Amino acid sequence: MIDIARFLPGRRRADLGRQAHFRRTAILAGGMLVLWLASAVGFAVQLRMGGAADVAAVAFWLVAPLIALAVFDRLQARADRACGGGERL
Amino acid sequence: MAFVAVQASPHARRRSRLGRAIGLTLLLAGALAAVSVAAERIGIGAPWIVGTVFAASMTFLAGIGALTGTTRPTVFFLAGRALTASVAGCVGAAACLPPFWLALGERSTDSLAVFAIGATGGLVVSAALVAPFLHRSGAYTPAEFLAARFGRVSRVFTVPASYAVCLFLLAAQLRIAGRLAPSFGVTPADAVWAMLGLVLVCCIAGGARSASAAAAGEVALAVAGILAPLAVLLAARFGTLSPQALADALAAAAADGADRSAGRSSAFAMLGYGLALAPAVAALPGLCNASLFARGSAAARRAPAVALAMLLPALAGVAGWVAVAHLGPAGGVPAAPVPSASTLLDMLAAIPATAQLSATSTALFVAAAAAALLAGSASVLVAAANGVGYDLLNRTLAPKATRSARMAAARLCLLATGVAAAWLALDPRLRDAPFGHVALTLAASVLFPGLVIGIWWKRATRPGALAGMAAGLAATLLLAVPIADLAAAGGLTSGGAESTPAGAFGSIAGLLGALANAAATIAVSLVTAPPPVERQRFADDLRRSVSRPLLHPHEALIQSHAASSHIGG
Repeated sequence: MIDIARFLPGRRRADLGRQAHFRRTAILAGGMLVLWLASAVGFAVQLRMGGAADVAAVAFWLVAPLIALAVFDRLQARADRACGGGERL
Repeated sequence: MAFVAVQASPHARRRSRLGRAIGLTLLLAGALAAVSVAAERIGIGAPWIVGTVFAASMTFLAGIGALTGTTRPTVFFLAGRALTASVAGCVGAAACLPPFWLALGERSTDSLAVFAIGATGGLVVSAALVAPFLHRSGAYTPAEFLAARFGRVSRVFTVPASYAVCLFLLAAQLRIAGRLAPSFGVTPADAVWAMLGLVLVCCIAGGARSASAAAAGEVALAVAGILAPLAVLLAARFGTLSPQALADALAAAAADGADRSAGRSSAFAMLGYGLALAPAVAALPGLCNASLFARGSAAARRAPAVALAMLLPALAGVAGWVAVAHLGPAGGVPAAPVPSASTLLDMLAAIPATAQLSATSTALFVAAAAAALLAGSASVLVAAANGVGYDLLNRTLAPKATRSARMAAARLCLLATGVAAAWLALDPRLRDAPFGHVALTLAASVLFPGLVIGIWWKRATRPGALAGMAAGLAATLLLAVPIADLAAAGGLTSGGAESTPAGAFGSIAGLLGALANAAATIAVSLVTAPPPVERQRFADDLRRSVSRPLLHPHEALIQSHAASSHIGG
């Protein structure tokens, strides 16, 4: 596939890169918030409907945002590297 | 032949220092447990064992703080911007402990669920929307970031609000120390002043650096001290380490009519209070500090996940202890029933007696509680001192002060804030003052929208932000009383010190204040002229992956020097 951005002037190309990075960052942040909301609903419903007796089910809804955060971190780091940034931890 | 010195990289060195700090703490906890078990075997009294373990662990934690002093303002205020994600995560976990203590001040176990939802949400919001961008700004404090984004006049709102949040949370925690003290034969006043003394020893020498270094040990000790005795108890009582056995026993006791859970709320109410708590947690100055202290925006983004990974086991452990309190010593219904009016805090304070814990388990349990109080208090005290010492004195009143004068002023701020909080905690006229409620409401309604909108919407203007902060504050003040009445009528209210007027988690007023703030900011920004180009570029640059702080770029040059002498990174 032809990379059209290669034929654009440098400043325009940089602008496009910044916009793409912003879009990707915003989508990742929004996705993370949606996942947290889903897990919060699942946790509250599990506690009320299923009760706290099923420890594994309660723990799943508590740990789900943590796993999502780990995935989010990897994806955001990749997005940062793609736009020429990225840092070591 | 040229001789090449092979040397570990500074990065690897810092990691090994962190490992040593946490490893040393866990080693100390293990050694203390072994010694106290031996002491128990030879018949030494339980009060001696508990007192010795408590004194040793507190001396160790205070020693970490005292030995990591500094004379450099960058290190004192920002820990040299050198914390790895792990240590910054410990600082973040410590920042979330004040709401955790407030949850324990409630009567219903639902408050733990609300805390779980709210703290998780706050940390997720911080990681996704605030922390890495705040770090890139290079600000010393959240108020400085807002001043750079919306003009210096925004400090009129942000500095007092940040300070009030920290002061009230510190007062609430010191009051909890005073409430727990009588269970261990100490007067509340003695406990409050002793706790304040420990917190000051942890912070005054090195400010953010000392508090961050100590936070790693404190959080590790708190988690270990909560979980280890619970595991011992589970193994002894049920013959397994699985928490499911405890849940089954609790379910059986509930089926026998022994369920004393007070004020059970609906899933909707629980979710609503949790969602309302999330912005307050995300805007806590201590949590913002964790991202500012991190060594890069990636570390700042990862720190909330580390904080969550540390908070969840502690939360699960406390839930387990509450279940133990409901079950009593033999795994069945307690002989002396848990009074329905008692808070979770009262139940936990009575655990050593009701669950007939051994002296070693009691000692670890008490040390964990003290470490958690110490970590939460140090976090808010440092944030308060940064707000006054840096924002008010260094940037506003005396911008040309010498380095030594700035450090002296910051230390004086630490001392004065601590004494003021202790006075608030001990004054009998303020016994029922809802410090925690006010602090969380202020954080959500005044600070949170400005942070998020300032980062994510470059069209936001100074008049818009000021109008938003004023609207948030006004809405909070106007709505606090009716919302408190509503909360008192329907669910998550408490019988603890934080119960008046709405309980620690009656923070719906904060959520409404945040919505009012955001609405006013957006509306006024749209009808005023766009901000200057350089401010828009600043907002753009926040979201780019940049290697140097935007506000104080020269500090990137000294960062590596400061980092090389830092315990945690």
